[in-house]
Amino acid sequence: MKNFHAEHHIQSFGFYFKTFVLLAILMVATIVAAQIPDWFPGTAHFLKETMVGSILMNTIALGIASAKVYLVVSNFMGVKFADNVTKMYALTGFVWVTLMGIMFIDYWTRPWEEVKGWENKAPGAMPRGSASGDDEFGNVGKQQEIRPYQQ
Amino acid sequence: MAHVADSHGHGHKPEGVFEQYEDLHQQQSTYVLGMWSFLVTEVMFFGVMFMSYLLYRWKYQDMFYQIHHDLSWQLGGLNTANLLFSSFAVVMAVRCAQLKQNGSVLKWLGVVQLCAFGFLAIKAIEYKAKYDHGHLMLIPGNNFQWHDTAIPAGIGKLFYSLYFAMTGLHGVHVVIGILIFGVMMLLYAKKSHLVQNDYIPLELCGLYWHFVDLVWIFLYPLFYLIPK
Repeated sequence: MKNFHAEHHIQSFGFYFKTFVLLAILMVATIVAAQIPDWFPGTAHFLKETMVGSILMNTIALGIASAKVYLVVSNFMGVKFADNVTKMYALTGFVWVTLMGIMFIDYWTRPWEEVKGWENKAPGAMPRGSASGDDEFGNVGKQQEIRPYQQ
Repeated sequence: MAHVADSHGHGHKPEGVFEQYEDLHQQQSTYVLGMWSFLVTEVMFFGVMFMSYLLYRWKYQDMFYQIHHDLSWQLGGLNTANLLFSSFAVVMAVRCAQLKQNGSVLKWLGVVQLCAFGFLAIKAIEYKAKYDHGHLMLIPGNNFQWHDTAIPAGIGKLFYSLYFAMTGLHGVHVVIGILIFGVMMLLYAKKSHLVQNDYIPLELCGLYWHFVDLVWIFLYPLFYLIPK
């Protein structure tokens, strides 16, 4: 109830302008980060061809995007100054997206389980475990192996 | 709760406060919360598209990386800057509405409209380039023509289906934004009573526009700046 009687505070021009400048800096940073392998060929192998480099580059790109989203939601959309209930709405709205990661567990584990009759895959479909070998999309078919509980 | 007792005791509300609200602040917070409920449904709407993108990107990371070179990060970057500035223009318009400076509201909304039309113009240039990509048609459909022998045509179709679906849906939101800001400009120009003493209608349109900006903030690195 702390904010119940609070007057709506009008933010200053400087507050909004600083936020915009920060967003612009982050935008330039994300572009520069993406061009580093091309501008500095010495780093290209590490950043493009190794797993660590790939994870690093993707984390930087999405980290900067998340920072920009935070600034827009907090300062431009005014969630920073909003009621707690609005804050909760904003937060849970974005948490929902992370819950969809659970679906990845399904796709991630599919190749582990052979499914009879799944050999005729639709073009581009996520593969089930299949004994029929590689398809035209470069999916590697499940290698013949015996699951432990069948032994 | 002296406040509640007081309003019950006297039975009158400040001007512009409807029956079911205690005061103006509660009324305005409720409007904003309603808009956020809508925006959460929009997060779900776009969320499933990002989900399918992530799924296929995860599966065909190397090929998506090769294909993304067809997109111009310069044009995408220009549009990112454009949308960020339009978001700034929107908060300035809302700020002027709070200060009851109607003339400035119209000016800032004009800037927003310019940015929005500029965004669509750049998008049109990009789409045209895919329609006629060195005499190749890259828009998925019966006439889709693929050029890269190292990458299966199916993956090319997949990438461009996601690209056109996601940027297209985002573009539709930009067009809707142009329409609602057009209506707001009309209301402010005509000094309508709907917006004269109440900045909330403009604030809610602004929240929508910031959301459109948020979607692009993720679309840009995911399509134009794909790291390998």
